[in-house]
Amino acid sequence: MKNLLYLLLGLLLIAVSSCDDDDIPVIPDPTEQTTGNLTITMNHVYGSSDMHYNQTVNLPSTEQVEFKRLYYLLSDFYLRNEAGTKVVLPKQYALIEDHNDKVSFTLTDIPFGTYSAIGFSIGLDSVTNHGNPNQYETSHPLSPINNSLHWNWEGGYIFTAIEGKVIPSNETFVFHLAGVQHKLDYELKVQLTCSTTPQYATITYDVKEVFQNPEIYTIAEDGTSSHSTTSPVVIKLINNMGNIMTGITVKK
Amino acid sequence: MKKLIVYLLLASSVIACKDVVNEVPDTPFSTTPYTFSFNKTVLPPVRIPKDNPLTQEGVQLGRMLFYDPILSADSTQSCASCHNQTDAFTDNGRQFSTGIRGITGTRNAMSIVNMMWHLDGFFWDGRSDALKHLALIPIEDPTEMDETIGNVVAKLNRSPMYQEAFKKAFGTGAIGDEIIGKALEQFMLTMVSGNSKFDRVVMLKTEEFTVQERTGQTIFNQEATPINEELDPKNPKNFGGDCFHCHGNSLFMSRNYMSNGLPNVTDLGRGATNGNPRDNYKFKTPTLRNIEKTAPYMHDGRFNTLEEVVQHYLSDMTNATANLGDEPNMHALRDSVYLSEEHKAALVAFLKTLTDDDFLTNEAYSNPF
Repeated sequence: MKNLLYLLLGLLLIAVSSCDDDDIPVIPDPTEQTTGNLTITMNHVYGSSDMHYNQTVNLPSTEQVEFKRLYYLLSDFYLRNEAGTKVVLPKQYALIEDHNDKVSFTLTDIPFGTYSAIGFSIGLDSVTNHGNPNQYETSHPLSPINNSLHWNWEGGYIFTAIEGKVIPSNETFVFHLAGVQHKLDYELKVQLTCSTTPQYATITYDVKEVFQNPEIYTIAEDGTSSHSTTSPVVIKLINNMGNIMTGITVKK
Repeated sequence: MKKLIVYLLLASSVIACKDVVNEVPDTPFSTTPYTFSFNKTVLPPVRIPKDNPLTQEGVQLGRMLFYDPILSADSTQSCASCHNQTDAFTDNGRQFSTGIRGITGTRNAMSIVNMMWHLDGFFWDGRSDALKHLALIPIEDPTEMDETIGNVVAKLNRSPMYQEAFKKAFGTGAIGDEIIGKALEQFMLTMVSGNSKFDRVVMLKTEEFTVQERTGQTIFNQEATPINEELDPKNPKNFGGDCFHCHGNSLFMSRNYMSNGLPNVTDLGRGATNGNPRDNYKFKTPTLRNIEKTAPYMHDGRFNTLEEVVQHYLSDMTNATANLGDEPNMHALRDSVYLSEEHKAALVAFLKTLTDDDFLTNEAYSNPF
């Protein structure tokens, strides 16, 4: 009988330990790891100042505005290795909501190695843009319920939304940029080594550049909203947005 | 001894998978997982709280509690009294609900539907973070059921029927507030609406809209700019309704709390919950699914018809209580939307395609007694 009780105690121990996955995190054996993580924080600035919402800001046009919201979607991440080859990180996305302080995300499954640049896009490729958004969990960056950036079944996602109001008129501006042809690609040079140690980088996004370089955007003349993918308003903003990513630093 | 061994083995499996319940069960028990049958093309993936996996026994218990007036102080009101299935679980066309003491509330009863996909809180003001907590609030609200949780716990513990049902669902007859909330949460999570004409036309492509409904869909999904000429060549003044910004995606809702330009609002809404003055007069953006059945409309039920709602969004909103400069999308709407009578009717016709008769008549959501 004693043996039977020992057997039962043993079974109990096995049972208790077998379902503890949620309680004890599994720490991978570093010798077996071949990929690592990179956490990126988007640091939004306005020229030489921090980016502020609900405060008066001077546009390059000298018009005064208050920004209310800045949303955008990032995709198509890759790292460029020392041989100059792109190491693509497929199906990884980020939703940035600066006005809600949601500015960090983690890229995973990055092969160990040394890299000389990171690339990414604001916007989505055509297949992803027009895919059924119901495939995503509600917490996913591409879930419409999470990002409020889906253009229903008409035109895919809004890639960037910049909203605010003009001071003192209280007139609002709503710039919603969409359309696969307006996906913006960026590549930033950076020395980065991916290993078992998680890496951290900060990318600077200068919102002021949306409204200048090469062309100054004047709300009174250019308008308060962008609604079609081909309007001059959209083209002007998209052209300016080529210069918004002004720097990257890696935490040593 | 053999019996003891069997019990010990069963007990070990229950202890091992302790996520199933928080309370230690009285006796060995087993449950049957609840599975959803909605079309995955139509709605997002299932999203269930980790601490409350759905079981058929738990859902059935929650259904009993939802329809049982035992939750109210004088046993005259149940959850279903103010959340009636044929009205998409709203209050029978009433502007405000009246509690057991004859006291009337100040907000319109919200529809209980597709609750698993809500983010950022429940109620018009988002004051509840989880359905299991939401479920208990009306019980203690003096303007609703005006009972104490302690009394409800005592009443249910005196009931052999509930003792048995709680044992089946949670492995314990020691009924407490946590598992009462969880049972109600389980039932409400099963209340899924995803078989409207909209779903069959747009998502499943098994039916077609009428010409009027299709026009309404275009208006719904177009921003507040002139409608393309093909749609209305005779009247270039017509505009998109810009509805989708706030009622987008297949759930027709948003996680955001918004001001929608209503005048004479005294209720601070979200601002009263979080203390942020910038959130004053903002309310949860409700789903439009089954909107035909959920009249009256707005947080205070001020509009009786969908036509009145559409007319509000076409008004100049100059008397809006909230500062619409803080709501750029609403402000843009105020400035520019114009719809002909024909297009207003088309928009309403499209909204009515969101009615889901399966949801309104599904026996699984009906009174089990």
